[in-house]
Amino acid sequence: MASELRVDRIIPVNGVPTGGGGGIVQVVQASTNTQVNINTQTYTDTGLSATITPRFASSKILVITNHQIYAASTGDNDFYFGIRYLRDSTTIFTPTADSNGPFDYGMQAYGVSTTRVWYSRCSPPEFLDSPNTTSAVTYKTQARTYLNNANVYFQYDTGTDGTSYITLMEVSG
Amino acid sequence: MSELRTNKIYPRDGLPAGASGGIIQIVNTTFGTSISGTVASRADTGLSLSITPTSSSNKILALVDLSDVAKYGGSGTGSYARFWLMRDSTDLIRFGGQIGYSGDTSTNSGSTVSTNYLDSPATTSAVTYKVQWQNPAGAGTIEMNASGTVSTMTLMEVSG
Repeated sequence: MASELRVDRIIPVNGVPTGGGGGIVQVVQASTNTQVNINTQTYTDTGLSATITPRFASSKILVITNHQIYAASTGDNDFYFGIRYLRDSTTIFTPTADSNGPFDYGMQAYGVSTTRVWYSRCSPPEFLDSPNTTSAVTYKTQARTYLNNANVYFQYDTGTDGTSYITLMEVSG
Repeated sequence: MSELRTNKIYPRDGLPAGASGGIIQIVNTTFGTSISGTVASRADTGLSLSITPTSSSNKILALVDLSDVAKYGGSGTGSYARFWLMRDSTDLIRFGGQIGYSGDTSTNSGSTVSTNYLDSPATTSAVTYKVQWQNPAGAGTIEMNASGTVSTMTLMEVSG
């Protein structure tokens, strides 16, 4: 027999673990297949965003993304790029970087240097945010290259193959 | 100790438009076998996981991380690794479109290749999610879990 639970918060009997959250009460997903080309060392919008309205200020939002990407070197070198998360205008996750920039994705090549292609989906680390509001908040992603030697296309293909997704989960806190 | 058993979890005053509800169950698996080959035809990687939805309107959120993907040898068009996430025999999403493509025969490391997908299987029967891979030209060798690392898959049943 099917049962249905309607509830605002889901909390373990012994309380929410430090730094974590309770149960998930709502999930929102958005997608885009509009192509965006990023070839700069300045963080630029990828076009992927979603909005959620937390039911409690104590709730947390788990951010999960999945980008479709075609990246190619424009020179003979290894190339990399990185993706960060923003809540409205606040950066909440920044990838590891050195003095040149982030290097989470891309290609290190061994051998004769020619044009390299990194054509894939990528999902940056899931991030648990504490927006501390019950107003609508918008999460989005931005990307930049490591050096000025790559073209990174988000939503490169057409149709489903070229669709990127962002999933937001409200976690009881 | 208390325990709550239910098939669906919704916000008390209903779901906002376009949203889904809470998580009912989560299953996870790891796959630590190092695999490699020319793989000219699509083939199972060995990473798979089954789940039985408790309601046909519920959705399944699949999270996949393939570890240490590389290609060495081979060159040119069609010489790379690519992957599909499937539900039983149905393609859900192609990811890792061209990992390791280059114009020469050098080794090209792609590191971790990840995807996630919110699926609507519309069933209460067991469904199996799996990952297939291919090196379309069959030139060179593609590899996963290349350094004895572990790939993972997590499935979450989301109230729909």
